[in-house]
Amino acid sequence: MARELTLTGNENERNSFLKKLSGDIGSNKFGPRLLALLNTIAVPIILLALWQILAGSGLLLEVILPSPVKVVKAFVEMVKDGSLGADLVLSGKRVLIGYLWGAGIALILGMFSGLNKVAERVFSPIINVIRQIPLYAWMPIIILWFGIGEVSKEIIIARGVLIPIYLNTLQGIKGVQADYFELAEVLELKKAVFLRKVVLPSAVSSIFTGLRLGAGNAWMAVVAAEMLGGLTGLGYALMKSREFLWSDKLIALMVVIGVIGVVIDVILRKIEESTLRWKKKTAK
Amino acid sequence: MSQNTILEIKNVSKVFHTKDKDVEAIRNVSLNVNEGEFISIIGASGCGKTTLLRLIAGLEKEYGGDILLDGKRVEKAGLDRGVIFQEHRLLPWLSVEENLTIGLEGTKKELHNLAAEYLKKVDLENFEKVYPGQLSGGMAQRVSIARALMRHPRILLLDEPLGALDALTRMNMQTEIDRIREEEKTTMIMVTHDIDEAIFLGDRVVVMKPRPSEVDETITIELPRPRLRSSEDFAFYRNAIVNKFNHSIMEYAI
Repeated sequence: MARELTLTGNENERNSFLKKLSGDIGSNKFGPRLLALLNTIAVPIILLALWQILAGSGLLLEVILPSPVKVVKAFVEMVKDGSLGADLVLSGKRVLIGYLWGAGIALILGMFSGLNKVAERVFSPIINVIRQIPLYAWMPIIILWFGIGEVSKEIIIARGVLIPIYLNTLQGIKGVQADYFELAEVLELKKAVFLRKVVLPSAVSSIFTGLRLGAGNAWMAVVAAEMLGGLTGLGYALMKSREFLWSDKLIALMVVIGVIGVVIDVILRKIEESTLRWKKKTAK
Repeated sequence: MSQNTILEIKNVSKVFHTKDKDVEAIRNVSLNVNEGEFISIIGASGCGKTTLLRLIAGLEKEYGGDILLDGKRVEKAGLDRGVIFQEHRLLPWLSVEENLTIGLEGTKKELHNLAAEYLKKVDLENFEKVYPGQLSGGMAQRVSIARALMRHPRILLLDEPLGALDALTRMNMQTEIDRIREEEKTTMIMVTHDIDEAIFLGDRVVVMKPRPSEVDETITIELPRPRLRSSEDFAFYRNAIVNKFNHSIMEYAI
């Protein structure tokens, strides 16, 4: 909320206003935060306990539902023998390359389409058709054309990343208020200044939504691509675990995939926040 | 009052074309504005006063008649006309200083000093690093006035600049604008629907009537500044304008 300062020209009042502004930032209390944390982890802890009880009861075969303890052991084993690390590095590299390509293309096309009607009429229908064909339906032909090597996995990931980033970038840029275009006219802003200081900042939230959705897709796509072809990576490790009935490893791998997905999302959100410093200062 | 004409509005009309009909927003408006003069344009909502201001600002590009600024026909917006919109239109992601200096050329230090100088003029010293969302409505509007003044416009156009403010802030801001006018000697045209505001600030008050929108009457306010809203002379002008309004409303009703 904005504060009212109705008297003009009163120096004391003005200074105390400025002081208040700076004092309001960074007053986080520990107690409420702890409570919020408990709030978040309560249900997972209960589920974990239920899982342990169910697995320990002997009602289910161990191959169907291994106990949490066994899953942790499998995880430690995979870390120790280096297989998890190797798979992670391979999958991570594929995700990174595919993501950078997909995001790069999507950002360029999205901004272009957002600023130029002709470009939008060219690209939006194409992207829409690509979007309507599910990622999994693309895989056979991509593998047919590019084999089961790295390139086809990177293309599959890039395809998964392309859609949400394109759509959100386009929407963000088209959402720039008409008022700001008038302002640019009145202030005779140059195109480059208008883009950098007005268009991009007002689209940045939307663009980051796209980048985060894209990152989720990338991680999903790499696992799918590795399950379909190749002999390395987390997806392949999942398939192998299923074939050998290593259900403890299977679950451990799933958890690892989930946790990494969350970590990527958190990192992207932190980057987003750092670009939206003004919002933090303003929202109270 | 100097008699140098800075802005000539000659038989200006504007028609908006919509899908199924043409709407005549203003018809045949003529007005001369002298250098350093403060013109208040007042009228009921829908009388085309904002359209007239947007035409002068160059935000509406097609119109009949001529609007001449220093003898040159207005065809588009430009830095020679400062515009204060009803909302402050500051960019929320830029600090006050960045908002003030956007698009200006100069070294960082020059721009900083310029921003500081103009913040002082609108009584907001030390607000450089504050973001617009942290400001009250009156403060934000003062920053937007500073933004316009910094570009040394020939004429400042104010489109109901205080319309969104509460009554008390509004009165303070009127005093503030009067002070700025006194110090900067900038020619100003303000659109308002507040009679007191029009009289308090205007050298002349242009009363417009709606449908079709025309100039009804131009009243010269011969009161010493700063003006007292409570004075008898002030009340005289207030009554004159209120009567004018009643009259034109009656005409419209018949």
